[in-house]
Amino acid sequence: MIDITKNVLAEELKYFEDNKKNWLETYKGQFVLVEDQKLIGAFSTQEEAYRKGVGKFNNEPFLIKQVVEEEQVASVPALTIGLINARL
Amino acid sequence: MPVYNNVFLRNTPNGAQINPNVLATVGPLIAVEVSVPAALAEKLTRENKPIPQPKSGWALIDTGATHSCVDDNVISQLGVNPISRAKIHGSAGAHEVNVFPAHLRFPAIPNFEIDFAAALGVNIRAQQFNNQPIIALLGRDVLSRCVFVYNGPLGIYTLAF
Repeated sequence: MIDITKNVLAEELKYFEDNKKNWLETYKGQFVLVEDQKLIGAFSTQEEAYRKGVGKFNNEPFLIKQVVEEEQVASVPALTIGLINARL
Repeated sequence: MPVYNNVFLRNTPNGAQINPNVLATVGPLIAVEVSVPAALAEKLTRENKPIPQPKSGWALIDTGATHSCVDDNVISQLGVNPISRAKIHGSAGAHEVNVFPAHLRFPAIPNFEIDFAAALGVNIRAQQFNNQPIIALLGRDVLSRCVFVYNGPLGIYTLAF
């Protein structure tokens, strides 16, 4: 079983970053599905992309990422300041 | 629009009574079941493979969170793989966590399920209420679909979808 705390999508993320500039011209705002170093498709929702990914790759890791210029950094203050006991 | 009122009671010699301190102490909790997304469940069914049983616990409604979170141990038990990484502010600056697909069901609210949520995988299970762990935080990504009213003086909250 895969260690779910590890980054198992490193290759896919690198491929995404390498191609992001081009994809911003054609897929801006869409969710791209990437497996290994291959673009499988672009979808209007994450759910659509996931359905396609599961259909093609079962439950193997694949990347779904929205093509945006600047990615939002998540903020969960309850974790950050320890209101919820968390391991970050 | 289904409306759910969650009333927090405290046992007293005169029976269970509404007590605002309960909501203030535990926060706006709602029972939740986390399971594999429908697309994966359908795929497993077609292949005659077992579907992992949903995991039950509490979700804390967290208006301060931009993203919803699910406990990474729950994700591990469901056998779901990550679909992305996300940067998150931590006490030592921004770092990355995995993002997982999840199906959320709220047993107290008929006909309300979130078929596909992209949730951050974090360790939040240390906190418990009534012997059940908190296994999810519902952030503003989920709340963007809801009306949420926190009534502190009465000790209740209302969630409408």
